[in-house]
Amino acid sequence: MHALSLPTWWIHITSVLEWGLAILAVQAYGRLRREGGWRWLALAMVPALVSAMAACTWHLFDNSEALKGLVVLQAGLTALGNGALALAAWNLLRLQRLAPEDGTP
Amino acid sequence: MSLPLAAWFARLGGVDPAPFFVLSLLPYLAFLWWAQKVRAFPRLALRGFQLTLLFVAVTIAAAVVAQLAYGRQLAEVDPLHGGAEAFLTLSNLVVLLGFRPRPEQPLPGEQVLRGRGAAPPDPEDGASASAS
Repeated sequence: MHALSLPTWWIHITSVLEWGLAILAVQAYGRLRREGGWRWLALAMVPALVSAMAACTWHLFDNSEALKGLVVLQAGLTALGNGALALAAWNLLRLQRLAPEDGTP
Repeated sequence: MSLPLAAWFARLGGVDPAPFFVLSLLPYLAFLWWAQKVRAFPRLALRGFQLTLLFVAVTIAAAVVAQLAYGRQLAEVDPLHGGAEAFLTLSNLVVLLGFRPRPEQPLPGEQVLRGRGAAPPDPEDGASASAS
């Protein structure tokens, strides 16, 4: 675990924690607004969380060449997660257009 | 049971991850495009998601520097690695702050009630509000 300095570890861990909390915050936001689309957005944020954990695991094992599969996993989950985010945003837009009586903020 | 998984994981390690990272940019841009059209999307959270693009740009630049100046991959040059990742910490923080609960946040449907309570309904105001 010494491939990363302590500050660099904290930067990584903080990012992951923030993203996890953001997922919960998006869910809470949807509950508050009583709109289901936000839960899909929260779910779409999960692949990136797993992707980040894969990357951190790789760092934990000193960026081992034998564990290079974790980097590929990270990359694949990033692509998948971003696709999911795009679908979730499109879905939010679709729901917005289905509810035209909803006033503009 | 674990052996085929280990073999699969070993094979996975032989795949070049770079194309997946490049490919993931396109759906992300689509995400930003649609998200900014959603009126209820918190503007601060949107800023945070946009800042992630800055993180990507900085990471690419840092990786190039690591390769050219040190002949190493980014994860092996700690200050460059940490410096680049700090931009993700920043953008994720902005996303999180963007979605934090705000009591003054207008709820769908509640706006109408609040508008009535705040001031006597003006017919012109009401007309413009429903038109927009």
